[in-house]
Amino acid sequence: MTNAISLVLSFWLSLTVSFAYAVRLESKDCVNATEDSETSLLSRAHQLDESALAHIYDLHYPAIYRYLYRQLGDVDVARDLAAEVFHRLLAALHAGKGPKNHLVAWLYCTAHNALVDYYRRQRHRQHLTLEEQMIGGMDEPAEMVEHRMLREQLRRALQQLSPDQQQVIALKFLEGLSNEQVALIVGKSVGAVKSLQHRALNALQRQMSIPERKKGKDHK
Amino acid sequence: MKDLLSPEILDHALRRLQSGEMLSAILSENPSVVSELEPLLLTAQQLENLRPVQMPRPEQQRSDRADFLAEARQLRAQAVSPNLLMRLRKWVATPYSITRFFYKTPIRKEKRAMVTLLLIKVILVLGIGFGSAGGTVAFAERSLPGSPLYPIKLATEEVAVRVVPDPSARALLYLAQAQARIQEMVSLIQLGYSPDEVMLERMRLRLDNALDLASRLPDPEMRTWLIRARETVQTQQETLSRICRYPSGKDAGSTVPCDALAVMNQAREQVELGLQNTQTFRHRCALGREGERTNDSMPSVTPPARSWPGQPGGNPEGGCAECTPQEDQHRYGPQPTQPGPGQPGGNPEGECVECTPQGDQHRYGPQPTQPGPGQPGGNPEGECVECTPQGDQHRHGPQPTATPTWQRMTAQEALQLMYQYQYRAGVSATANHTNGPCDTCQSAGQEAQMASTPSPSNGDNGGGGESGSSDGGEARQEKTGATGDNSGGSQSSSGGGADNSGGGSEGGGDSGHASGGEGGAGGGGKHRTK
Repeated sequence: MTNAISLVLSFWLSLTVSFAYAVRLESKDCVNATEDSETSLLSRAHQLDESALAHIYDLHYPAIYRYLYRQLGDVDVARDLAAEVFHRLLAALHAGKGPKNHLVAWLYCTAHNALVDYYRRQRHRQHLTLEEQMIGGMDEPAEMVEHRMLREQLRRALQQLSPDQQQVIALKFLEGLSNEQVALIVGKSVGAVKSLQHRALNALQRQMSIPERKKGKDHK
Repeated sequence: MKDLLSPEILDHALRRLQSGEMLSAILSENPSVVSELEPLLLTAQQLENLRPVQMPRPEQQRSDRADFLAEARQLRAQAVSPNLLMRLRKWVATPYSITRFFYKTPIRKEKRAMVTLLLIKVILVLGIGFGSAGGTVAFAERSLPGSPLYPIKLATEEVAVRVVPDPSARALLYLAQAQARIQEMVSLIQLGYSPDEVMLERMRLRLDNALDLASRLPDPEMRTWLIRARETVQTQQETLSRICRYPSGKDAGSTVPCDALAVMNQAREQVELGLQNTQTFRHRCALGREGERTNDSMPSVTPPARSWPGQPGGNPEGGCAECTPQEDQHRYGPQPTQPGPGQPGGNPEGECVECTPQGDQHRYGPQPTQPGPGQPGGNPEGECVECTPQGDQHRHGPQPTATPTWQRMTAQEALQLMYQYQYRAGVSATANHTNGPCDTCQSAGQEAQMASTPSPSNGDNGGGGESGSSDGGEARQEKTGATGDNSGGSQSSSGGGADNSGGGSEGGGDSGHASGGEGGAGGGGKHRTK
């Protein structure tokens, strides 16, 4: 009887260990498979393989476009800058440079640089597009105008921040990335990202309060 | 006390806000930092207004994607990187190269284009480098002495000689270079300039080297080489003889062409000798090398500049074409500051045709402690009127440390000798003295044997006299043996010479001259015994 119990226990123990080992292997394989897929994708991209480049475009273009649009509020400009980002990717790959890994981080970083360049070229946006005016499908014109003005105010305030602060705010609050992902993109530690986020929100809050104070003074 | 809002607290609060918690709940958990936290959280909430995105229309997206892929295809068609180093790095990172372990970058460029560009650059660089160097050398080939490019020409010739491994070809090269020196002389003379001694030196050095190399060749090769050399030398002889006979240019009185002709004559004789008897040719050239080595080991004897055959103070015969190389006589000749051939106190004959060098006497002259010819205790007949100058006696003459008796006798008898030698010099000059065959030396040795008293040492010395005249190597070997025997042998030949002169008593009286000092010094004892 004791022998039978010990035999069953040992069988059960071996099964458990085997299962745990298999699960671990599988999870590890999944991680490796992800890394291998990105590595192989980038390797093919370095050879300017059309299918790999198309795959990269389809995978990352929407995110890059959103990132740009949320800060620009202009479809055409966001398209242009997104196209500029992928053009830079092609040029880097052709020169034998470009990302060896972390393609997403490289694309976000390039998009941010393109945005900064754009801001340098055009200090002030003078008008809002028709498309943005219809965002949200708001029926009430007053509400629509109010939202439009708020977005305009937010974007103007964002442009007053430093490039790093802009990038952290955009990645963290507009794109919804984690601190680790933001740290990878901006090339800083997680602690530095938290400090940067704190300063950026303070600066943004100050920028947002300036028009309100002006309004108060005007009312007085 | 009001707490400061830390980034950690803010980040925690923001995460809770993003997860959907109420703002009031978050603020209630952080009452000490509410005043700071609240506006920041409100600002973060306001940013949510920017999240809605208006995507481009589908046709715009398709157009953008098509543009992107078209650009990728265009870049792929170029298929080369603009950066050469990058391309080279890719080139070396081939799948079959070990560098693939160090370079993770995959290869996507064709290797041929990269190699082609690299090769073009390398060829350009090498072409420019070698082209300019080759052009300079080509221009230098036409240069003459005095030209800035002339050293390049000489250096090129030196390199060419060092590069050629075959001794026969190298000897021919030396011969061609000697020919080039003569052509340079001709060109200079045609341009109105006079060639200098340095050119003559260069020509002679190359001839010496050519003959020296030829003497080391195997017999068939040597014979072939000598036949070719004879033609070349003959041509140059004709050229030089024309210049020598009909000098032209500013410095028409320059003796360099005639000296060069003399050197060339000597080389011609050497070549002819080699064609007749290769062994003798080898031996003499070997002796010439040995003599040069001996001279090299005695720098105190070496004059600052060489004198040449036909030059004042030079060996009138020059070289060792017909006679035994008298050590360095053929190179140095008498010193300019010392009496030369035909000069009072010098070697009246100034040649080395009749006898062998008398040991080291030709270099050091008669020792003051030994009685010289004509001196009391010296060889009364020990002159060398019929034979060659005894080594460097004609250069060094009587040593300054000689006794007053020696000096007095030399002064008295030198005058007589001068008249005698002047007479003989006139005779020999008209007789076209070209270092006759060695039977002259042999006859001189035989006569010396006959004239001298037979003695054990004299028998050896008689052989020495013969061998010394016919083959300097044997004489030199004897010289390096017992000194007494050698001096006797030398003396016997010189004694024969004295007999040949037809003036035994006269020669004996004249033997006080330095030229006979060596032989006389050694042979004096013998004659005394006689």
